[in-house]
Amino acid sequence: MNKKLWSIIWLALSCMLVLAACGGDKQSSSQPAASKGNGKTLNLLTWEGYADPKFVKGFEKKYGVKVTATYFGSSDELVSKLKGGGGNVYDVISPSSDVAGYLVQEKLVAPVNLDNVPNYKNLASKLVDMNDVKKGGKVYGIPFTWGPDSLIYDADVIKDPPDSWDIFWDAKYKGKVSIWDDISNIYLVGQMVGLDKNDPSAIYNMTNQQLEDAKKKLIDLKPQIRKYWSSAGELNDLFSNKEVVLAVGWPLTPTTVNPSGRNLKEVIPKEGITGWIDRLMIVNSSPNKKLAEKYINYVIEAQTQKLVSDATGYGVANKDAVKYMTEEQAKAIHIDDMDNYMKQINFWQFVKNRDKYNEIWNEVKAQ
Amino acid sequence: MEKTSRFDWISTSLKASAVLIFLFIYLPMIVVVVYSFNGNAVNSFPVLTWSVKWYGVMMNDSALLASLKNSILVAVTGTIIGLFLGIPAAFVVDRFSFPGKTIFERIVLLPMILPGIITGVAMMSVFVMMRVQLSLTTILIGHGTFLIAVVMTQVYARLKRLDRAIEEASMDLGATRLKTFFYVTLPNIKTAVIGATLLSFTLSIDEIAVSYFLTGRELTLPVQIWAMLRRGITPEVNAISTLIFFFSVVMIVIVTRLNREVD
Amino acid sequence: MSVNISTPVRNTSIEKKKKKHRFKPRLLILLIPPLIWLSVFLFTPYVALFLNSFWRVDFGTIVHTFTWDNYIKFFTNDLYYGTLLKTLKIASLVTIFSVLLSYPLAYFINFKVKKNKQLMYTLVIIPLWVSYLVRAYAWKIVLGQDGILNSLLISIGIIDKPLEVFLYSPYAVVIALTHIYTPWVLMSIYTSLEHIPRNLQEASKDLGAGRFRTFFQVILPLSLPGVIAGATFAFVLAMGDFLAPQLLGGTSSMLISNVVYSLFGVANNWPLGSTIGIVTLVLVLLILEVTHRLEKRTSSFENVKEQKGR
Repeated sequence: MNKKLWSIIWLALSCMLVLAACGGDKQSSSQPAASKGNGKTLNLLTWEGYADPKFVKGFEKKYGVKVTATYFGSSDELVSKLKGGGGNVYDVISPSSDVAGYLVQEKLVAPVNLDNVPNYKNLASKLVDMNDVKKGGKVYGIPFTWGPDSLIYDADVIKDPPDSWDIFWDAKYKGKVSIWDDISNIYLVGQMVGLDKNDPSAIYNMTNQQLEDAKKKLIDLKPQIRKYWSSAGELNDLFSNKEVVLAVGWPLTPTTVNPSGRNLKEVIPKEGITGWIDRLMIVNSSPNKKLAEKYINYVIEAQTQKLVSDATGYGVANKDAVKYMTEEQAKAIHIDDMDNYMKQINFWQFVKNRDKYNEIWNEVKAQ
Repeated sequence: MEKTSRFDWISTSLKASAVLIFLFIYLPMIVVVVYSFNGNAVNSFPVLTWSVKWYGVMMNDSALLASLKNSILVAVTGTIIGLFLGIPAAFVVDRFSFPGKTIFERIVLLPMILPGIITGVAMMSVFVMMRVQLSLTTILIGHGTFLIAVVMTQVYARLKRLDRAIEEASMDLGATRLKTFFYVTLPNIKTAVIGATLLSFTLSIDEIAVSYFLTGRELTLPVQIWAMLRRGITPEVNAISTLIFFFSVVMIVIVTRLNREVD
Repeated sequence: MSVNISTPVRNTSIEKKKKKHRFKPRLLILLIPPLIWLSVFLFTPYVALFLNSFWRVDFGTIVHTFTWDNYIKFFTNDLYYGTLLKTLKIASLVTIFSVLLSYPLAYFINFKVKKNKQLMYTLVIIPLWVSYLVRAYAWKIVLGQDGILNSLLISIGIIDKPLEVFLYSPYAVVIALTHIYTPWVLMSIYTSLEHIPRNLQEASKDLGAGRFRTFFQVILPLSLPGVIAGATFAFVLAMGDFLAPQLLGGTSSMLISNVVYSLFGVANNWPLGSTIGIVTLVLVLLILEVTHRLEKRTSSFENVKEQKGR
């Protein structure tokens, strides 16, 4: 009997191995077709939407490599991943403006050789001129996309576009709101009380008292909240499953959810919004720096940037992308009046007291 | 006969609650199976369109299948490590007293009993401090460590109940200790070893808390599934879970049948 | 995931007084490989965790100056000890429900099922082979706004619009964790029930005890060690869970392991995370010590039984 038992166990194991091997085969069988390259793998650690097959496939084909992606749900998660053992796992990362400079300071990223990234010169000068990712005459970050943290609402439920963040606190929408599981909520509250009226950086350098006030306000909001979303995919799901009707989010969410027959819209409330500029960077200990530069050059090409915008709904760094867009799309991502539109957004900055912000946010969640 | 025809409310309510509890245990499983055939990506009720497309999507998801392969690799190797280090440890702990034995027993059990996240972060801190690159190997080390404990406890329990007289008889008849171990002790604890093997394999395949913190470029299946769940990719997850579920059911039922035949 | 396999061990193995062999240093060689493995990969990490808990962190970088600050912070800031208390509460609920659910079913299978007993038992533990994550997430489909439960309640007219309290709430976390750990608890209780000799039950009846009396005075005390072992297991594992709260929990369902997760994975504050790790570790050891003693005390019944059985 034991022989029988063992044979079944082995049979079972081998079945699973075969199943797994099939997967492995598929993976490797797709490679020979394109393996004029070296069969290398480029590992991205990015925000969701930044490894969409729409544009990554083209790169894989062109260079005969494989691109894999890991997604992070917040800037802090990115930093933790890089510091906590992920330093030599990833090749290309896409930090936002709040931590990009910090990564340069901490020597976690390597300078980019601009000779290998000829498309750099075609990027919007407003983005290229930012100094936080330059050090010692070297450039560490290549502008990729930018966008707002806007107020997203389900236009099928809320007929009139909300004009203020106050709607989140409106009892009518109790249990129908979702905000991001991230310290950026503190910026939002700061903005609501007008801290950034004169100095945009004020919401990134709030005093302890201001932080305590923000905490109170966020705790007041708790009964209204259905769920703190921790990834864009989760927010998409919350809208898709009609769990929420109001949220702070990125253009990625309407772009992803609306094709399935929904009607999500975004607005800029009167108090203003925050936003982000994402740069691509090469991890310092990456063994694939040359390939990483090729990738960066590829994704900031005008044609690729159009695809990036298709996939994400974000503003892109290469203004020439407009040539490939319909008028409607160009308008939607504000590529033609970029400078003007950007003025309405308070872009994330480095937060010196990040530990404190994180603690406040955790305290809100723990309440 | 008249006596039993009286309505036995204790037995009936016991039976009813057993059925309900059974339902509770199986409800999520049924849900997963049903929704794996949902044609729509949104998990609404009732299911409107039926389709097997998610199985196709799953079979073409190279990342998912690669993670399954990684998981099997880790589980097989981890189980072997557990067996090779756990059985001797169980043997020594059962047979000999040595200084620090109680402490040894306690520490070995820690990774099994402590929340996985604590073992996970503890191991990660050491690997990062020693500048060891996180990879499948580090996951394997994590798994091997708690599987040693699993094997040890299973085998130790059996050894404890083993009648020592047969070993003594073997040695009285002139067999060496090693020979006695292989020809007398081992066959007697065989079922415990088989049980430990299956259990180790299962535990390793499903492990996430430790793996999560020790993952490098290559993911194991649960870590991959977690990443997918977080991003809301669910129909595919339903499909692969359904496959694994049926696979386990068939295997377990066969094993049970075989056991009964022998009994 | 760590699993308490000692559950069946503790129940089934009745300590027999064994004569220990003489101390044979030669055979301790066998212990060397596991010892090396465990001290490198297990002992060292726990020591590192302990040491880490005394450092300070500055801009996400660990500063190696000794401080008690992390411990002081833990025990004075509501965020940390408050969350721990909440975790203990949730874990207790999960434990109670798991035991309440497992006991009748284990009893039923062991005493009432005649044919296919083994098969029934197997069916109960099969869910253990389904990915833990999937089992947790399946509850999302059941409890959601457009989910099965809400739709069902609406269709039979109990409610007229979907209730939000099911999903993304502490209830969802408790339900899912109860569901996940019930089979484990059941295994433990079943094993202890299985070891109760049938003739004891009959003897009790022969002596005129009713069914209730037989249950409360014979069966329940004899199965208590199994209940305690299973409960301990469910409690400790529920305490350490961080994925179910993240998937199903609402705005206030952050448990202590979520805080650890956030300190290591997001806030990049390893020392404080280590501190919580150490506190949890000590707490778990305490719980185990207490329940171990409880089990030993209750299992004296078993010893009596064993002697009688001979």
